[in-house]
Amino acid sequence: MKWVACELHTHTVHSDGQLSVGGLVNRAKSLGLEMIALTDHNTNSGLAELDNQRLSVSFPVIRGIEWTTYFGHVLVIGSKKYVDWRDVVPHNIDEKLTMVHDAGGLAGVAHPYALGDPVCCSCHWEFYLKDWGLADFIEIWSGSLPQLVMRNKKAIKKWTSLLDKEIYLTAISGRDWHGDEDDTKPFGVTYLMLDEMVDVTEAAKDALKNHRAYVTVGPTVSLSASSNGKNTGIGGTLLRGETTFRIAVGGEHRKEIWRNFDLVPQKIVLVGVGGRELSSADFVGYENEMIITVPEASGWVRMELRGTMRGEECALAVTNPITFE
Amino acid sequence: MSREIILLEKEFVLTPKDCKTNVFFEFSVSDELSHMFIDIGYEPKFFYDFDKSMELIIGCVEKYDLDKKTDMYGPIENLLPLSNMVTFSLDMNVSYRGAAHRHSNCQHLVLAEKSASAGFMAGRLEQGLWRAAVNVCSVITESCFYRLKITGIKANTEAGAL
Repeated sequence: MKWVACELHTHTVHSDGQLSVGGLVNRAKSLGLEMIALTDHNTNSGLAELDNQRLSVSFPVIRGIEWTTYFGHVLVIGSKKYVDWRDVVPHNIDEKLTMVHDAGGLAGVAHPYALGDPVCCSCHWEFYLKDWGLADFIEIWSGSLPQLVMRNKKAIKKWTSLLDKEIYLTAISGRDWHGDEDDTKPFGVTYLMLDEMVDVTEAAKDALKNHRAYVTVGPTVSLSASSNGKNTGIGGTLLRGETTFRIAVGGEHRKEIWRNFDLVPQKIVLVGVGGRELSSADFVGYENEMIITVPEASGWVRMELRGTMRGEECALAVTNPITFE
Repeated sequence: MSREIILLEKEFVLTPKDCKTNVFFEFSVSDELSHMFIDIGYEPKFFYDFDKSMELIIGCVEKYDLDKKTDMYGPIENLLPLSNMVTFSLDMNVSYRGAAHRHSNCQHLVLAEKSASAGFMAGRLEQGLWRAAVNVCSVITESCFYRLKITGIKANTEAGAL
């Protein structure tokens, strides 16, 4: 298993992006990313370019598409057959997401609280999804300066409320990368812990399905927990009870990209049911392990690295939770 | 003699009432094609009523209860002019061939067996029932004139001709 820095929401000239697939791959490499998902609007024709130029040989690319419907956008990852986006309407979204699963794909909620029409065509999630368990993941961060915008604060609130209902959507960051963004402006990255699989799309799906993911604007994080004689990591499950969390923050990976984002880590916070702070500890420097014991961990616990970015207080990294039963 | 044939030609007017609809046109391809050409155009693209645009943008921010400072992707002027957005997608015998989801209001697309314009899958252009879809994402102007022309070149069938 290995943590890999990914961008899971991208566009190329195959829809309204600025770069060819090859151009995007090169840009991704230059930003220290180790994997991207190709998610052009309503088409996966970019995959042919990927195959023709053998780009996937040199750089892992997850096969995807962004359903750009009239009532919200859905990232469909790894579907083995095409499921039509044009008949997706607010009241059949449960049925359509089931069709994605039946086709072997995963479905993610893209930028759920973004401005909608007429500023951004149908970018706001307006589906009546009855069973949120049919969504596999959700963008809690989208776009540049992701933690500072109201739309993402709302997305985190929604995600937290779902966790409280034991609906464990995997939280991700999606830059919605069209290729013309300012790379000096802080942006989020999703780290996925990948099992060694031949097919990168299957490996990414496995990580997303099992919540082995965290989002960050820079520092890497590690989180493990032990309770009742068992250990687990991000996305894992333990029996409820006294739990010891081991936490470390890394400051080296992709440092040359985020060193100018003006990030100041200050605090490690364990957040639990209801979004409540369970415990916290001062940040004691990169690569130093911190140990926090929670007397009675239950429900779910996630970790947030908090501090300032460009002088504003915010989370710098957020993990998916460890759950307790 | 040119083997180019007109497969579909449509001109119509869209209004804001057409927003969030798909306008489908079926057309039949009687002989396999070597190339298909799709010409799309719509006018106007932009909505230049400044006051109304500001009203729409502010209304949008309020409707979605977002922050004027952080959620408008920069200064409000960056969002101007607002625009119509009509995309296009295509099916061949119930098989999806791709979409042109981009902002340009004038596109010339080509499909062939070995290559295709970005957004579309290359592959055989089979005879049968095809379907063009005009995907009306957003029409802000009072009306929007849309034209679509699809032509094809028959694949070389001379060797087998009687």
